[in-house]
Amino acid sequence: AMETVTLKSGDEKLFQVPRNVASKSALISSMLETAPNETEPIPVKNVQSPVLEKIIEYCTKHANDDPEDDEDSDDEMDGPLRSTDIDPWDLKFIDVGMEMLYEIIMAANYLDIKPLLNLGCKTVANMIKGKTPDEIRSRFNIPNDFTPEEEEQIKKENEWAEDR
Amino acid sequence: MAHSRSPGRGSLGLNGLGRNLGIRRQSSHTFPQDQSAEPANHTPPPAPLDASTGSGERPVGNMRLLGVRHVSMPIPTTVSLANNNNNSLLPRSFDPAVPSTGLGAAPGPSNPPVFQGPDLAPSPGETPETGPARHRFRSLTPRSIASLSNITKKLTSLSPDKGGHDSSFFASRRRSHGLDTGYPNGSPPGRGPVSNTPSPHFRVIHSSPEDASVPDDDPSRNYSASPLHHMNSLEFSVPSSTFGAGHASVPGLIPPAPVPKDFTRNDHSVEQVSRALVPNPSSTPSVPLSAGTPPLPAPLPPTMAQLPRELVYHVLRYVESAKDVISCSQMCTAWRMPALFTYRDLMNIYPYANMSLMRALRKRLRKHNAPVTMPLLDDIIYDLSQEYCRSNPEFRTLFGADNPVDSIYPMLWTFLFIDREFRNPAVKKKMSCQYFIKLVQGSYKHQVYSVTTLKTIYKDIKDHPILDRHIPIIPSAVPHHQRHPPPEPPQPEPAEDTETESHGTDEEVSDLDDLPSEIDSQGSPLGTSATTEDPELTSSETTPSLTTDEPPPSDLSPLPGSCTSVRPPIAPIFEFHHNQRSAPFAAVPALIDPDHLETSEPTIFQNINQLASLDLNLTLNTAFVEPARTANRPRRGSPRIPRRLRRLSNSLGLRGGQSTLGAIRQWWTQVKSPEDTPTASVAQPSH
Repeated sequence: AMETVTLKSGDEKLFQVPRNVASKSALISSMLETAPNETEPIPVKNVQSPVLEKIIEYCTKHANDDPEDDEDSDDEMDGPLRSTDIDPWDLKFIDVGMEMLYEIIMAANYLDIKPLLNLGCKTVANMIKGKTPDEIRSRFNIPNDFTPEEEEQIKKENEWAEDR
Repeated sequence: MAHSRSPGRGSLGLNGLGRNLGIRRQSSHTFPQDQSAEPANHTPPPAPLDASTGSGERPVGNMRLLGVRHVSMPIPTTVSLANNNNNSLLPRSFDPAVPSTGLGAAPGPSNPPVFQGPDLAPSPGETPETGPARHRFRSLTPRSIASLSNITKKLTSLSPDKGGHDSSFFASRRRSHGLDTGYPNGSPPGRGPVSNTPSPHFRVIHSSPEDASVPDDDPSRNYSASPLHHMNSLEFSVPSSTFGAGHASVPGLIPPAPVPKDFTRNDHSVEQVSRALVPNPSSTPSVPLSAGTPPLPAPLPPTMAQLPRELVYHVLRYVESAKDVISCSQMCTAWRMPALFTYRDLMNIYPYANMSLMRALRKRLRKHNAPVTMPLLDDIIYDLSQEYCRSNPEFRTLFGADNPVDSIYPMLWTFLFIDREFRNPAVKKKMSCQYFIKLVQGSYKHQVYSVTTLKTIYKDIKDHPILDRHIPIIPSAVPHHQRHPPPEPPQPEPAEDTETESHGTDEEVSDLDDLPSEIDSQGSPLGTSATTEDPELTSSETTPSLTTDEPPPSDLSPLPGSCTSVRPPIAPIFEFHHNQRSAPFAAVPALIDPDHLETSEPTIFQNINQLASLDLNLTLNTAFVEPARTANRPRRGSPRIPRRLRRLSNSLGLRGGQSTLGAIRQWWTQVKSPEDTPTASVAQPSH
């Protein structure tokens, strides 16, 4: 039988997932390594059940992926990374609301699931591309918290960048 | 006097009050100054206030921990409260015309305002009524403390949406430094002063076990009765959410969150505490709120502004365009610094990102202060073309299937040539803007540049020289007419060299029949240009080498195959131009830097020189020469290329256009490579 582990979300819901799926998370993977015979549910306190459900969906889909395929994002900045090379399934998977996207990114960061984190960040980057600051703000529902003086200064600083 | 009030309530209330009063910056060292300024106005310490207001004689538990000096000190009374009776809410110091009344003294030359500072001035957008309470208080008097207690009452009973919020100035500063939760009274609603729920905020302030063991009204606590001390100490207390990572790094945007019933700070890590502040949309608030608490506003959904900084960096790494990164930096304060750092990195890698072609050209040439020779300039332009395409990935799409480098390269040269034309006094009839537009647009399959852009470029080049004094230009060391072997050579020349030299000369002479004689007669047009640009170089150039004992460099030509540093001079490119229109191009320096090349064969230089000219001319041919020639007479059939160029290009198997440029570059690389036989790679014109 397939070995399973139980994850407990922040709102106390239990999820039973195959071990290889849960091991997509580096955090859970290391926990499983340190305590291989642990039968208690693994608490994932920072992730609520809807988000965890979504993440398990992603991990299940990508359970058999080669980890080498994930681009290494830890290296130094040697140029921008491509944000367009997203798998169609991933594209559909990540087509969620802004709050869920935010939660997925946070949870992927917490659980240390690099491909999912990259996917979330790529999606956010694609939303940013070609937009003015105002458009990005309204897209992300971010208030403009610059003071008028700061805005004036920013505008002056970046005037040269707008001469294209 | 009763001190039965819960500690948390008082601390929170005072904390918020202290902020709202704007006394944060006031430290105890200002007091002696106050005393000396107004010794007569000393008043006894104020009577303890109503305990329910929270601003009474209550000692503050964390004063010692926070390092506040516990010195009992008379309260300064230099400046009174603003006169509330006449509804003037502005502090007296803001209105010098108001005479001093009562205990307060209007600040003047003898009575400078004590707590004057930029922080106390109202923001331009704030009206006295809507401005925070801090604007109204400059110092504390018994009367002011009485008013203060009223304000404390007010503040503690304020609902979150009724104002009472910190001023935007302080709030934004603290928010940008991660020192503020952004909530009224420093804590999210629901955990405010009236709530009995123990909050992390409260625990930070009263975290001393000794203090906790001592009752609040214990006289052994030798604290000053001054409320200022409360406020000083409380101002130093930091909301616990400040220490959180992640969400708390953008604390100003943390929405109000329910606190779990069994929540205690020790149960969770800091990260978990901060995480707990983020509401879960699916969960409902489970905290029993004390009676009288105003209804909470609906929790705001988390926004991308709350992303931890490292994740913002991660997102920005996928934003490929520098322009988008700049947009991110203007989005909100939380994203500003990561975006700026990303932009800096991006500019280090892609120096011409988000730049217009003209700007990139100027930037590149400005970077080069050393003298420029023709191949060097060509290399610069070619490298710039590559760099520009790499820096602007979207540029690639403009040209579709074409190699954008091959398209930008002649374009940059075109800009340079038109620049030279404008600066060359020998050219009487400058190119018109319409002609320029027609030229550039006709040269490309895709209309890369709009008419408006081209007009702007034209005007820009016309008004601002591209090749200016920032780039010293090496003039032709030996003008063309001096390059002929002297009648009496000072030393015997190698026959082969002479042959090569004379061959080229003959060919030139034969081909330059229709060349206007003014170029030779007036010397180098380059010299004309150099005169206007660099007198020093001109003087060295105008020294005729024939009149000196020193033989001209052409006579120092080494034997074929030998690798010495002495090189024969190279014919300037203007030799190949046949009409008035081509004259501006003569201003482009035509020397080939011998050190720039790897081989030393004179014939190679000869041919490279030709090639450089050819390269230029073919570039020009698409841009200037041919259209200029056909401008006077209607063109029929294929574009007419100057005879010499045509012969050369035919022998090279080249045809005009961009492919020609690529072929020339390839051929040039072959010529430059040492293993190639120089003469084999030189294509002599077929006769």
